[in-house]
Amino acid sequence: MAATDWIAHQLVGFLGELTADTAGWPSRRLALQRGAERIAEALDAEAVWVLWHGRVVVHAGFGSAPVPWAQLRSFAAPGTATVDLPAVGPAFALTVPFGDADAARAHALVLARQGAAFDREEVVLVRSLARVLALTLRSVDAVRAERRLRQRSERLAASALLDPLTGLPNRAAFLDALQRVGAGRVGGAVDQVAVLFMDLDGFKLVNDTLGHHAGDELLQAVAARLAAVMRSDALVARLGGDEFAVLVGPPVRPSGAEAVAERVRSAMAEPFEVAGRRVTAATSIGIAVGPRVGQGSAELLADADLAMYRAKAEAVGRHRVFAPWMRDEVVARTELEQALRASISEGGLRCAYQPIVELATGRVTGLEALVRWERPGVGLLPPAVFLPVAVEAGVIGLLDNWVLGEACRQLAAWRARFPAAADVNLGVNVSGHQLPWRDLPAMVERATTVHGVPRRRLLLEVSEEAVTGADDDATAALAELRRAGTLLAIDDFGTGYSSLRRVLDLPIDVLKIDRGFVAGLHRDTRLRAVTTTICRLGNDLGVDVVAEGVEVQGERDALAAVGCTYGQGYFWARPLDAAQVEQLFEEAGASPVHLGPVAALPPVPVA
Amino acid sequence: MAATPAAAEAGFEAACHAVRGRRPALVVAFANGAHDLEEVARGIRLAVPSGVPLVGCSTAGELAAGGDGRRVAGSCGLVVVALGGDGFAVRTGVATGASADLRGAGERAARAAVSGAAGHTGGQVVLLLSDGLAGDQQEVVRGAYSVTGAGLPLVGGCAGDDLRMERTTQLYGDGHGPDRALTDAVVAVHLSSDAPIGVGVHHGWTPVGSPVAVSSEGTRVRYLDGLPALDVYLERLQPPRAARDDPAAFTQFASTHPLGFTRRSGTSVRFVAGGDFRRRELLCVAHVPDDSLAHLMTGDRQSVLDATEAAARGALHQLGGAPVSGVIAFDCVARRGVLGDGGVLAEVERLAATVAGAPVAGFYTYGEFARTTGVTGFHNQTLVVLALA
Repeated sequence: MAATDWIAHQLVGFLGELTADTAGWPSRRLALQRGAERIAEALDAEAVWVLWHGRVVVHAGFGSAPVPWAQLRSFAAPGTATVDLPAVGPAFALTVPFGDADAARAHALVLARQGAAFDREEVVLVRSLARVLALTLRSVDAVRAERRLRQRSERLAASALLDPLTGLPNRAAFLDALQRVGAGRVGGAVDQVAVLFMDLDGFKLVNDTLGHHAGDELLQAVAARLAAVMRSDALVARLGGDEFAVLVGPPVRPSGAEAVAERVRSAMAEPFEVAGRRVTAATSIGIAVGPRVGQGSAELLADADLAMYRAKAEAVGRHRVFAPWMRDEVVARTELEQALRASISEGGLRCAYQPIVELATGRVTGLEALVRWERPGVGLLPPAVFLPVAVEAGVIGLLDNWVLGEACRQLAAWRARFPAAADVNLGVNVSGHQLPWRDLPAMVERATTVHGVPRRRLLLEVSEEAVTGADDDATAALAELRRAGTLLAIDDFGTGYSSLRRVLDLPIDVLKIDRGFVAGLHRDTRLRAVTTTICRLGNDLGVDVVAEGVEVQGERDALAAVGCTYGQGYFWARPLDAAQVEQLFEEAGASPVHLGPVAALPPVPVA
Repeated sequence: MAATPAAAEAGFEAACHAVRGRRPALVVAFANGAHDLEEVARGIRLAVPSGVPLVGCSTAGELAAGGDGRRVAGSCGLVVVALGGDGFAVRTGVATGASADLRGAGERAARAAVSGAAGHTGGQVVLLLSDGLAGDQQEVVRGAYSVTGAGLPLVGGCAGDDLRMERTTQLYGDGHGPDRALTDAVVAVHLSSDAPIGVGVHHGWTPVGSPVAVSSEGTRVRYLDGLPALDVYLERLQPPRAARDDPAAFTQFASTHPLGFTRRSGTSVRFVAGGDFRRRELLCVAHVPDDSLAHLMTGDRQSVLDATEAAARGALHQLGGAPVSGVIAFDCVARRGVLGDGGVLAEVERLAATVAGAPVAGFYTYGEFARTTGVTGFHNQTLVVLALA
């Protein structure tokens, strides 16, 4: 073997060992010792010393024999020499300086070898190795980090087509196979394939309650069971997360694909043994049969995905075959979502305000801001249509923030112009879903400060569901908001299943009874009993009770009779636009606004 | 020296043959892992006076050739060898819990064996028996070397378990305390003699083509030249069709195609024990250095047998013409695989012939120790021969 070859091997090997071993180097001294030993191994030297600032800190190769200090000093100058070592005998020594210490108290590496002198290439090699060692000592962390990165990228390259957890082909491999099926067709005569797209309905629950290891175990078990129920020519793949896909055929008929789906579902219906427990993981399956002319492999998979969502939406553990209208539905929803995003940023939203009235006097004590969306080209959309879309698209936070800012701006403007607005509270809804609790206090602070609205005038309305499932973040945020003076209301009370007691224990100022307890109250003794209890407890605890959805005189009177203080609903006013509110303030002049039954007002065309 | 099939009685019988009524300085036993080594030791001890150290280990096969012409090689049960005579001194040491700190274990065992050892005018050697499943055995060499230094050769082997790869046993008794069957341990014996001691090492594999860059994790070789290791290995070596997808056929093929790491004094070999066909990796028994360059190696039955003779001659050469009184062989289990049942007998025959009929005892190992020059001393697919004059 050529000398250069050998030298290359030693350099590479040394670098590799050094970087691999640094994990076991708690101290510089140990690092020096291990590094020096590796150099001795590379050079087949019997003994090695390291001088650090002129002192011997490492010596290896003497066993229990005494270290020849005197001799060492005599050949510690750079270069080669011959020495006579105790218990070893005559040897050739090589000394190379390394590191960056000054000449007088140098760092040096000394090797001693029997039998053969160090040749020129070896001297060069030792210098390089010593330099590598010095550099490594200085940047152990950097070297380690580099190595980890490299290993990761290698792993990525090798795992490009295989899912490491389950050993199944991954999405790329699945699309590859699908592509090949498409490419294999001749002259329009197409053998059909079926793509089954499935996801596990219980996966998230297992992951959340039993931990990620259990989740991984479940995925592996599912993969094994899927592979077991498929014919050997079917391709089973894990697409990612809890999503799996199966390629059946060619050829296959739609009825054949459904039979496969049925087989999968019944196989999955048996419980799995995960982390020592039995868990179930029902499977929703979407089926797409194709390819149709001009359809790519990714599209076929996407169709199956859509069908799976459809199946999931209908009921857990179903299968559905793709139909073109499913895509239309998704397209429409996507367009809606995009338009909503655009409207939030481009000013396409507006607020309506519904008065809250003191039952006894008809005095307007507050206004609840309600968001309205005028969709370009379509018209005014009710919140029931676009709020779920906003939640699903993850823009509900943006939407809430916009309403908060806009409502504060509006109230500040009214307070500046109308004396009657001075004592009016502003109710703003914050959604229960995906509420960024941590950010909420800052969001409120910003909106009120920017527009100059007193905190005591802002009433944040939070749904019962959102606070009763509250975690520590939520509790902390509510407490902070209240400390800063913001009023808090529980909205739509009675729609959840929380106990009244528990809700009233929360740091709240207002309880809004859902319209379900109000409609027909005057004719229903059971409802009256419930409402009476709510109002009494609320009054005892100093929480104001507001009845929502009051529509007729009878309801208003019954509420007043059971001790409810405030009401809101069409009986007094529908949600009003800003101009209508201004009209009320203007007419009231210096005294508060009072409202009677709605007949006294003109009909309002706001949804 | 003897080889027989069952525990305590086997130990007793073999020890009687080995000792023949004399007082040895050391008794060494190599036993099939199916035996309870503690039972074997109990039997041996009946024939061996207290005060005499007893060491040994479980194996992946044993080999022996007696002066009486008996030859055994393969999984034959038990081989016991007694060392002794005038001017022969022995001290022993042991370290347990090796896998947690292999270097420390090598150091502790060797320190106990070397401390206070008599300096003899002839040869000295430190014999190491270690648990081959405990990790990178070069660490054991490093630890032992830090105690022994350049003046003392190291020799020995890693215990086996007939390729079950589950658990190996190291036998240790200093002659005063009880004889213990340990696992995850390193046993060290310092042998010194008025007569010379020789150590021979040879593997007989030759490189194929240019070297490849190795990425490994412990005993798994993940990539060669940045590509899945198994595929590169198959591509380069072009094995018969069966070895491409049948793990058993692959293992058979790989036993004659180890990896070789270039050292100044020659090539250090690592045995490829199998392939992970799903992850496309090579599986080795010994630690494979990551980020290194290696040659793919090749050899055959003939080259393995030639190496046997070369190792024995190397050991004899160091005796400086003194007549050999016995040899201990540490022979890699992979070489046994290459040779087959008939081949191992031929090997023992060749060993016996080379050492002129002197007794031969040894075992098939999971890795061999031999450090005579330099610092490195852990080998694979190699034969190490210790010759005593």
